[in-house]
Amino acid sequence: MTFHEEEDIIMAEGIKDKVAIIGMGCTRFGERWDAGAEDLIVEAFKEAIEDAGIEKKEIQAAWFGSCFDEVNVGKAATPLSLTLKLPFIPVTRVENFCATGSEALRGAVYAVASGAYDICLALGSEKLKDTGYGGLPDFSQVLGTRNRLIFPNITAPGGFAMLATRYFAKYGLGPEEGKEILAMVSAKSHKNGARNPKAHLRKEISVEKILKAPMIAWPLGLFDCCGVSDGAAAAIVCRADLAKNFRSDPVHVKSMQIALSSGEELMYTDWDGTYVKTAVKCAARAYDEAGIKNPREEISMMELHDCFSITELVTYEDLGISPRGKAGNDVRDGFFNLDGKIPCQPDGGLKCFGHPIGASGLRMMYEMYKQFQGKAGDRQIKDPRIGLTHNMGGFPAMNLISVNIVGR
Amino acid sequence: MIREYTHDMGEEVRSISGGYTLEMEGKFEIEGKEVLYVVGNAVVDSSCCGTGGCRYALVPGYVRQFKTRQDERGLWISEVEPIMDRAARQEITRVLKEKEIVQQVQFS
Amino acid sequence: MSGIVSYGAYIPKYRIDRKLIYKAMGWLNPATFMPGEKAVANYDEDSVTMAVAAGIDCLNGIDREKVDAVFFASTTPPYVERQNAEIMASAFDCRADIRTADFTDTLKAGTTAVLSAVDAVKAGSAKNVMVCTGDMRLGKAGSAQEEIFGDGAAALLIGDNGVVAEFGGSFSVSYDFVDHWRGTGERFDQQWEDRFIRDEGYTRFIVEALQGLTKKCGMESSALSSVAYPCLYAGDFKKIAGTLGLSESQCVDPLAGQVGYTGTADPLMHLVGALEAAKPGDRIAVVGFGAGADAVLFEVTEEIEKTRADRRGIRKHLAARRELGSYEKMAAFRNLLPTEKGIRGDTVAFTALSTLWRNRKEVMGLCGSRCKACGTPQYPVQRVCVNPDCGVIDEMVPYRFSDRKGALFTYTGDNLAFSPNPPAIYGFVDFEGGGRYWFDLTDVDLEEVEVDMAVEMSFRKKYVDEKSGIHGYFWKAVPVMV
Repeated sequence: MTFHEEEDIIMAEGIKDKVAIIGMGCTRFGERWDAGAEDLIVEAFKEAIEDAGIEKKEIQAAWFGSCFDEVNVGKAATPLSLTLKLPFIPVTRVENFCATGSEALRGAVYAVASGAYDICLALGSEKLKDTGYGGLPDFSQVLGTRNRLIFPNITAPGGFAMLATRYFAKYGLGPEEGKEILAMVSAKSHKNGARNPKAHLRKEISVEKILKAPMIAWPLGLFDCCGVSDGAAAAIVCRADLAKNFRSDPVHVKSMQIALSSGEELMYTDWDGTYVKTAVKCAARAYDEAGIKNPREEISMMELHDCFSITELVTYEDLGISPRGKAGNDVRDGFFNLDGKIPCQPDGGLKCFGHPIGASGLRMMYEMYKQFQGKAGDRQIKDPRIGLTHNMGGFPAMNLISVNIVGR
Repeated sequence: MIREYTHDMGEEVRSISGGYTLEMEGKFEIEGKEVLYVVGNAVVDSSCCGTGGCRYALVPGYVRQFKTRQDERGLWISEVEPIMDRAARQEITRVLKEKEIVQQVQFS
Repeated sequence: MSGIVSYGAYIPKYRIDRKLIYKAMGWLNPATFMPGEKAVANYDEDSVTMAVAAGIDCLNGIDREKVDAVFFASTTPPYVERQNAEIMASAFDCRADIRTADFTDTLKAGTTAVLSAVDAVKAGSAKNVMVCTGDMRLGKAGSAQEEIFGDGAAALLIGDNGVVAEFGGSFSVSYDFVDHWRGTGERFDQQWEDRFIRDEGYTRFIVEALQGLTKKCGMESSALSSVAYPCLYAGDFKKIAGTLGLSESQCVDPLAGQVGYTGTADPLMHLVGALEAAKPGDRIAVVGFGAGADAVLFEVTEEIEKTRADRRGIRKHLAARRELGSYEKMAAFRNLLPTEKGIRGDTVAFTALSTLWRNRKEVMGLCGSRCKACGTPQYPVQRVCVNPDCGVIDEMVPYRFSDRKGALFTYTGDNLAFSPNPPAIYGFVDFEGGGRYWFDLTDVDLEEVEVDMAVEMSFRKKYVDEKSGIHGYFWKAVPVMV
């Protein structure tokens, strides 16, 4: 069984084992009425810098991720440099929808891997609770002037619900059966999140209770959808050969890849609507760079972009771990539970943390980092070797995927 | 096909984006069979894309045996037959929307 | 020979039982009870979108490049300055070198537009004139107008080649008869007393115009196979027939109990109804009433048979009804009730009019492009071909999607997206012949939607920016009419 398309992967060199993460910070996620974006930035930064044991002046360049600058700190990278009083160093703002957090990290990591810098900072922050209404700022303002004349009245749950509709249809799942599989995916995450002091929602919820919730965008119900949160997370990265100067247990970056939609999914009729095309391509490149031949055997733990439970389900297949159309079987077998073969969302995921867009990708990496260092409390996974984070931005028909692989 | 249904109401079940409470139960007859339904109230106040919520109904199925035993928590359990027929579902949806003024009807 | 080359009509799918209106508001003015049901435009329809639907019905199988003039008649156009006829012409994807005009301000504007079209064809200034009329008239809550007004549209293609009903003559009278009036900026008509309207106007001008017509054409009223005229008052409708010596079978059913009084569209909708059942040699008169009356005569030719199969007209639209089960919904759709949209629903991004201009064929005409190199149709217009095996740049020709059917590839019913008629249903359409895009769906309940169901495209109001007074139009998918 091939899980990715055969193609010649030509790489200059890749970044495997060139960069290490030596410090991370993550704020409490939630409805932080008490904190503005600046407060969240400082909170994450303080923890990261203390964890790395460095001084601010050692940071040579920084990448700042925030998505909705309209309701946030504003545009450009000055919000980061001004808040942290960074001393005239290079700071770049990045944004790539919900994968913004991973993009910030990727910028910092690639800069160090290139040899241009020794130590860099990546920080993502998002403050979403000042809009005056629940949820993300209205999409119509950010789609582009032509697109908002012709796009349907789409929301994120609706965009992903369409993936579920088509998946159920293709694999002959009646709506009740399909919803039950999705409920099991969410229930697993809630069980993990209940053990995480930094999570927004810390409560176990049974499959039965999930199935009794109302529909948000058919066939996705209340518990199939993540919610909005405020939060920030940060990482300090340095050259792999310098990492031991800072700590005995750095986490090494094996690969950081992204893939963007080509337009085929939305405007061409090849895509069958039941998976995420970019994820397949991105994972193939990431595995090649990291030297992973059999993901189902080699990956120890994962943080996937569970904005919606269907996303997580098809991602199991897109990452080549579950066979096409059969991820439900793995879910039923507990393959992705905390005590399963590949624990997925050990920190509770977006479901339990909420989704401050600029921060989520870094929050995922934070969990991987803490797991490797044995600091995951009663969520601790035994002796993890390889961790994978998967961050997605956009809709299944029009998106970008970030796949990041880390190890000891 | 017979399934078990546990009568469990009154608790507010929350996610990050909102929550729901099952408030009341009822039964009504349609074509000689008794339909069991539950009415819930949901509030969605922190989802990613808007606020909402609704009064909705769940239909576990036709009643086969009503409240036959209790589980370890003391909650009653009934045996129900899930309703699969499309025409029956449409009719039950119509009746419930009018009777209980719900916006959604879901079948298990 | 000049006359009607093709015809079409449109009735919105929603129908409301008038008892619901009376139940909701009859306590206020008990004299307003009327039997039957009436047609109610969906929240995303208006006089222009309905006229476009009628026009597309009329243009079925006809090369749109042939149209060289477009007339729109309505007393409820969305704009008083931005030509509504041109919005329609864009939706039809007409050429730029055509003449356009809006006819408005009185309910006989529909027939007047037809006469102007006939004059243009006879004078040789145009060869194919689209005359489309639609009205979405509004009555105050609890008024008789609210009971009687229905929404609908009709379209005629007037030309001199392949005429199915030849123009046989007309007779018009014009009077500044102020039975009802509405000043600029006013939302509702005001009217004088009904006795005045029926005694001095309704029962006089229609008779005067039709008698003038028959005299001018040298015929008796018994020679007319059908006469189409509006029904304002049921009793007086019959009285007019009596005065004219018309039998009941000669009067085209005004559909008072099924559609309602559709304003400028009314007489032309009934003309279409008559044409649907007409035989060669039939003489059909249509009378528009308002500020006097126009009476127009048509004689059906042998060509009538060739259009019949492909027209939905009145009969098919009448049958495609959906129950609008609540008065409150009707009131909300028509903005009679200030409804809570939430901050999210109230937020409408400004319309970049320069973007709209640049992309007008795409947005208004649903035109994409087809790659000459690989033949792939794609929407919206692309410069770089979307086919991953092609990818050629700038080898595109225009390709119209609006008249293509498709299959619903996938869909959802979204309870979070703000919709005036929730849930918001949207999905992907895979078009026959190629091409895929995502669209809102309308005129359908979530329970009816299925993966791979057959859909077609319908021109609708996509949004209204109330602050800027901009009505935004685009296309939505609807189930193919059976």
